[in-house]
Amino acid sequence: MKIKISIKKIFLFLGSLKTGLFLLGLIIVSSFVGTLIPQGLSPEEYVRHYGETAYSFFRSLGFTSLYYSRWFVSLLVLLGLNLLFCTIERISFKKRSLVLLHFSLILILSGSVLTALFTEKGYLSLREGQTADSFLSEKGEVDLPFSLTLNDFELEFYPPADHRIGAYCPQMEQGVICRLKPGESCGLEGSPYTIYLKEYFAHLVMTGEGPENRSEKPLNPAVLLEITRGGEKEERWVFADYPGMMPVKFKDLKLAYAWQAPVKEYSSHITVQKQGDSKETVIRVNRPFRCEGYIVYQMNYDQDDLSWTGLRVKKDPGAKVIFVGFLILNLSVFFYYYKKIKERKGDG
Amino acid sequence: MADLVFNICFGFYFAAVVFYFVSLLFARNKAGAVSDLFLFAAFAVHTFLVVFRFWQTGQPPFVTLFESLLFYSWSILFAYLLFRNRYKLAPLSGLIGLVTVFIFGALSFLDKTSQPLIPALKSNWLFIHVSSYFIGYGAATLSFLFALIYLLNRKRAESGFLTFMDTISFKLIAFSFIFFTLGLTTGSVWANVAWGSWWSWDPKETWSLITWLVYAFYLHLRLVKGKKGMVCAWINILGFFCILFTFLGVNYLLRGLHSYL
Repeated sequence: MKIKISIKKIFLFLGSLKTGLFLLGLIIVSSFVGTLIPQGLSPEEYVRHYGETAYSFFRSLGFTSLYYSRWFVSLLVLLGLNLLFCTIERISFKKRSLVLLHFSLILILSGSVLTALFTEKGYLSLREGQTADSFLSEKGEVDLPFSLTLNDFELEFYPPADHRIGAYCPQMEQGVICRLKPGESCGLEGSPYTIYLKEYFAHLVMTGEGPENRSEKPLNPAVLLEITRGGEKEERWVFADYPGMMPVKFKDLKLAYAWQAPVKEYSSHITVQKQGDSKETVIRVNRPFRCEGYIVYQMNYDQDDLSWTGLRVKKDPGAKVIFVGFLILNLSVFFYYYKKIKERKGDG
Repeated sequence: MADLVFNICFGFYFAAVVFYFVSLLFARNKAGAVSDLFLFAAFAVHTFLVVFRFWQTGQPPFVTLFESLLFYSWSILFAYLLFRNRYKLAPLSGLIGLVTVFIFGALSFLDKTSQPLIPALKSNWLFIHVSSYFIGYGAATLSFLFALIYLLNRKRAESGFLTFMDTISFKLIAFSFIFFTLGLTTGSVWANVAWGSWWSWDPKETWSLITWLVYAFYLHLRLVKGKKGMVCAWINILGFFCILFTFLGVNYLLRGLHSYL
């Protein structure tokens, strides 16, 4: 009999509002601390930033990986139990929105447990022409039920917002950098020269009829500059990839062009083979490829060698549970609080 | 053209505030009506500015700080106009106008050039995730202002006025909470599509969760514990500072995956 009473007491205590609010407060403060201390750095970096004593203190409290520390996960588990017990206690059709709201939170927390326990994730680097049927996870190599071949990696840029032209001549104390758009000019301080950006070609090709812009891909970016000194003029092509071209007229004026533009898109053109079937697909950021529960994401690329692509592979059985939880959460929050807003009396 | 429309909008908000104070100081009802007229006209032009920016750049207008603040100030007005008639908020129009004038003042110093979307932001989720948050931020800002009025007038004002401020603050938080929930969950679904993880404890994510939890704390205290008045007003103010930190502070003070606004 005594044991029954104690279990009931524990149940009531764990499911009480006081416990819930206390846990919420603790989670808020802990999450705040986790954003003050950088997470997941190497021991050397912590020592460099905070010193040996502070690092030992952080490590002993699990602050260096706070959100995955035992005590923080325990707080989340306790909050889950609090939600579960208080929902069981208050279950009724009249309070259906509220019960559903709390149920959805329990569902989300359960989904996150599934994610933490059963997610397979890792990275996969592929060179053009290379095929892979496994990826490297934290636990080792994981076999995939399909194979991926990288046919082509593509990097696209937006047109440059402006063009950075570096200029130097012996009369100047030091070189200057002008940022110009086509149609704009810039006087070079300390020199008799003015430069005017006449044209920009992303992919300049010299043909029998003169220079031609073959495409908007930055395969050979160049700018046509009109240089003036007093009444004299010179037109000069300055190439981003071929600096140091010999000037024709104003030989003392050295010009350089640094091409820079924001990345628009990067994508991997892939062939997927599964049990004899072959399919072509393109994986982009925000457009992953899904197959047999696995999701393949475009993550990064090698700036120095664009024949490589960096992919991320994941299989997360918790995600669907969480997203169903999100849907129920939104619906129940909407119906519950919409009613509270509509109610005439103060707090409903 | 956009600059001209921006200045017209700024001018309308300013005129609304001037006429509001004229009506207040000289007890002229007509000036109050003119103030309202300017406020409605300013909101119409403000809406046009946001839509025009969307059309002009071809992307949701939340990419730069200028665009974000323009939409944030629109959201404050949107929440105000939505609640104005039902809760008889017309006498507070000057205060809302003043807040908007200050935001427009800050906007006029910001770089108005648009920026192209980086690959991580190129998604339909951008619109729903960010607009949900801003609509929530707008209503929570109003709620914060009313909580502030409550605290500043706690000892002087009559209890009816204080109860009204307290109640409207709560209603606005309930409204924001719907949009914070939508923003938080759509952000998580989007993160799963873009980064391959529905939750990474990135500083911006963590701060948006902290904000959600602070408001959840407020709602529990109020609806289950029955707390009202000063305690709720202080938590409301804490919640607003969490919003400010999530919106702006994280970007400038902490590093993370959200290395853009």
